[in-house]
Amino acid sequence: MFGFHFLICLFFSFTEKGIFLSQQILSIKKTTTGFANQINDLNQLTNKKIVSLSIILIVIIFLLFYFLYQNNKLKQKIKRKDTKQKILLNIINSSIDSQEIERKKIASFLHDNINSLLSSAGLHLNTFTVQNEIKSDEITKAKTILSQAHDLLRDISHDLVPSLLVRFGLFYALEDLCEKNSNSAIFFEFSSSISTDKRYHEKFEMKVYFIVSELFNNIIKHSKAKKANLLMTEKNNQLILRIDDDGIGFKTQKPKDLEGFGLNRIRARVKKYKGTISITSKENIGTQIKIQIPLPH
Amino acid sequence: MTTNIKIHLADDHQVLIDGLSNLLKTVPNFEVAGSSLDGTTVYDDVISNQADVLILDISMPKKDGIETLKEFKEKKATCKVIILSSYDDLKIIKEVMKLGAKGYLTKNCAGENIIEAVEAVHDGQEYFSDAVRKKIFNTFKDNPKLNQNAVIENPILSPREIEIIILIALEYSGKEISEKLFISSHTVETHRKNIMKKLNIKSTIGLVKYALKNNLINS
Repeated sequence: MFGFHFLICLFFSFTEKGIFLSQQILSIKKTTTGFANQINDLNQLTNKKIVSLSIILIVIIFLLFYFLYQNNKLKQKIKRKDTKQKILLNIINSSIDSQEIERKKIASFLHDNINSLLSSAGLHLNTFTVQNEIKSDEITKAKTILSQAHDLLRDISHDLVPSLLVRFGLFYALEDLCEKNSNSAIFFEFSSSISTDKRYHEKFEMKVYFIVSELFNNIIKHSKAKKANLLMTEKNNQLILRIDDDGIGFKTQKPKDLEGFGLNRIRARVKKYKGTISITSKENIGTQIKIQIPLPH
Repeated sequence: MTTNIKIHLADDHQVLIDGLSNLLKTVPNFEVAGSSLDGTTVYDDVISNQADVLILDISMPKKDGIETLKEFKEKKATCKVIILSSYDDLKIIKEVMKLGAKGYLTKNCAGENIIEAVEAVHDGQEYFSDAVRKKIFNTFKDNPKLNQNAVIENPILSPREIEIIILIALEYSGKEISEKLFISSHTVETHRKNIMKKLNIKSTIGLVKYALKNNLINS
């Protein structure tokens, strides 16, 4: 009897345990399905993240490419502008060069050949009057006309290439330019720490001379200055020119407005000789221009 | 009999040399001794033909008039040099006078002045053609005491002498006058003596009086 009991008890306890177990299994099953759900959720989340990340990445890459493209475009634009400017500079310079060559050619032709012919004609007329002891109004008139033609020729050849520049060099010529441009309205002062006898290469002298004369023209035409200074020095193998005036000045911020004043021509000339030019101007106080040009060897 | 004045011509244009020598040959005691077409041979040519006066152009190929003048100065040549150039720039004139030239003529009035110039220079004076002389004197024009309308023409005195009177009356010293007119002090002195003789006056005060009386300067 006891054994039976035991068995029943055992059975019951087993069934109880079994129920418990099955309950436990159930609960495990339940939890596993919960886990699976959770994993599922997680998976979806990461998927979403990956998608959004890649979208962001694509956008960033796109933007990057866009910027690179734009940058490149800009660079090319600048490059094009640079080459354009270089070409422009070359055009200006070569036109100035050819102008100067022509100037010299014409001036020396007029000065040397035509002048001599005119003078010689005058001399022959003189000889004729002396030999024949004739006083003729016609001959006097012819001589006056020859003399006028001679003067006109001298003036034009002087305008083309100043005789002082050719004969005595840059410093004489610039000192003379200051004197010739000075009048009751404006005074040009010349000062130089370099000996006036110093000579440079002829082409270089001509360039510097015309730069200064163009700047002087600007001062006379636009500045309303009463006094202007030209200061010349040599330093570290460079020729330094400083031109100050006490005129009305202008706003330096707008260099484009100044192009009409022939400044681009001057810039082109200075740049060709690898020099620098700086312009500072204050309204109603005056303008200061500093030009540095390496000396030719 | 006066000895002939030997003249040498230097210019790079044969036409001009021909014109000049034709004109100079019309003067009895002038003799054209030779000519050079560029500066390189001028000195040797002048030494060999012993010219008294050299008429020299400034712009010449190879060696220009200024270089030639320097050579003459360095070698202490006795030949008197007259510059004949189409330049009439004061600085050039001043420079060549400093280098020892005795006369300066511009080419446009060469015909009128060349004979006078050769004679004057040969006599030991400086000579400038009228236009050049006026230009030199114009450097005094900014002196307020100078009568701008002074009449330079005078029956007894030469324009240069009138200029000298004006400058003396304006209290310029002999040295200043010689520097500013590009002539030697000796020439200034000669002019002064000639003026005094011509006007029959004995002192500088007389000169000033003359200048005031003839409105050469502002009182």
